[in-house]
Amino acid sequence: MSWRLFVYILWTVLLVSGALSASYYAWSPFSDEVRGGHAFYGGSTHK
Amino acid sequence: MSGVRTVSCPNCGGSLEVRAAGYSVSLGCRYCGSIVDISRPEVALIAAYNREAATFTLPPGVRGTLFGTEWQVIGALRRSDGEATWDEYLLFNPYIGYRWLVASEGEWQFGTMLLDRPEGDVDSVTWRGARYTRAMHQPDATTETVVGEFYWRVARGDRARCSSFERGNNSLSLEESDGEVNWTLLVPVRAREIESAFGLKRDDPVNKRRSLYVSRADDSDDLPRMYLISTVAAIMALVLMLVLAGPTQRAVGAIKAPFGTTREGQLIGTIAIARPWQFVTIHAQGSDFENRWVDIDYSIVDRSTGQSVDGYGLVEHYSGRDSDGAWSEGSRATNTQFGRLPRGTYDIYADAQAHAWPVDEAPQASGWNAPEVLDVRVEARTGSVPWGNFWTLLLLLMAVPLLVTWRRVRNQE
Repeated sequence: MSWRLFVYILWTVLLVSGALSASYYAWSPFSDEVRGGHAFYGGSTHK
Repeated sequence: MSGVRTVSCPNCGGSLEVRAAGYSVSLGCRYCGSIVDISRPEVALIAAYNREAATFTLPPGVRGTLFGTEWQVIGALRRSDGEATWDEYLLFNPYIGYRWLVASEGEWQFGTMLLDRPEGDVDSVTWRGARYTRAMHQPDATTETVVGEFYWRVARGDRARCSSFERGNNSLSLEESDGEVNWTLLVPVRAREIESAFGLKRDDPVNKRRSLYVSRADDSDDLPRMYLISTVAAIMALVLMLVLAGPTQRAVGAIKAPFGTTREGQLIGTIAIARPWQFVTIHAQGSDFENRWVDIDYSIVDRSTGQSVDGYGLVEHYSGRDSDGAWSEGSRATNTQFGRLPRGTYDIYADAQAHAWPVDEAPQASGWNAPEVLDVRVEARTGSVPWGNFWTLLLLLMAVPLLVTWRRVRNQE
């Protein structure tokens, strides 16, 4: 096994561990609960 | 071969053959391991080194025919970048000159010194119309062992700054030391050819040293494994994320969103979060309206504490016709995901207000003079998967093998 593959496996383990931890704690940088609801102006942006 | 002369080692008195007489300036004594300066008539001792290190696959003096030319190994270096070690052999033919063989982890490369310098910058160079891109690993090489004779003064501990530029399986090696710059074209040679040319045994343990600097052929075999690892890891992660998302519970309700005012505190339903933490996703689906939008403010209220987590949703759809023809935009459906909700029972509330476009005014009343409203169906459910997390994971997993593939394709263009 090459050094590059070894580092990639470590990277994979790190990513999967992070994703599973985020799932367990129900955390996501894409969740919407921090969005404020009143400052938005709606309507079409078509020009 | 011609041009052979004999000198005596000033350290041990051993008789040494100079195979490239007139070209070589340094010679390692095969009896005591001293490095001898043979460029001067009196043959001076330069330095002593450990004789045990002279354990090379191709000892000086060995001959072999490679690419139709008979070569004699006249010198060998063992070099290291601190992590990896590799061997470099100096080949000599009196009619052709010098060439190199580089051995690392059983991979071999044949090196030819360049007389015409490549041109370029730190990221890529061009040589004879071909573009070579810089390799990832750029180690500084330190000479650890010297055996045989060389056309420059060489000593243990010599350091050189190395760079490598790749194009497919070939590479250009740049070495800089003491203000001197040398370029070498390295092309891979199959180990079987080396074994056949020099009569080596396949299980020679010396061939199994690992290296970062010259083992690119070995690295290239990692690519299918990287794709396999990333695919397996992504599938495993998805299955576990589905499991961790937990049980699903739904609450469904409907909102009649009025124009010009906000319908507040509409209870959608109640859900229970069964796991320590769960996501809640609220899906809103508007009725078949046109040129309207509905603002929806959600509040997920914990019954035990009274605290709420707020969020926002928007359903909208617009259409019209202009000089380019018909157009439409927006979506009458939207998802809002809430994270970090601890175990408990929650009431889902929504405030909603409808708007018209392009003028936000109350539309015409219907036949019985009742104000127009927009119907929006709202469904809240626990146990949703954070797809943003999964796609990010997949992107980061695939980034490395895709980058390697891209570099390889670019090098082969």
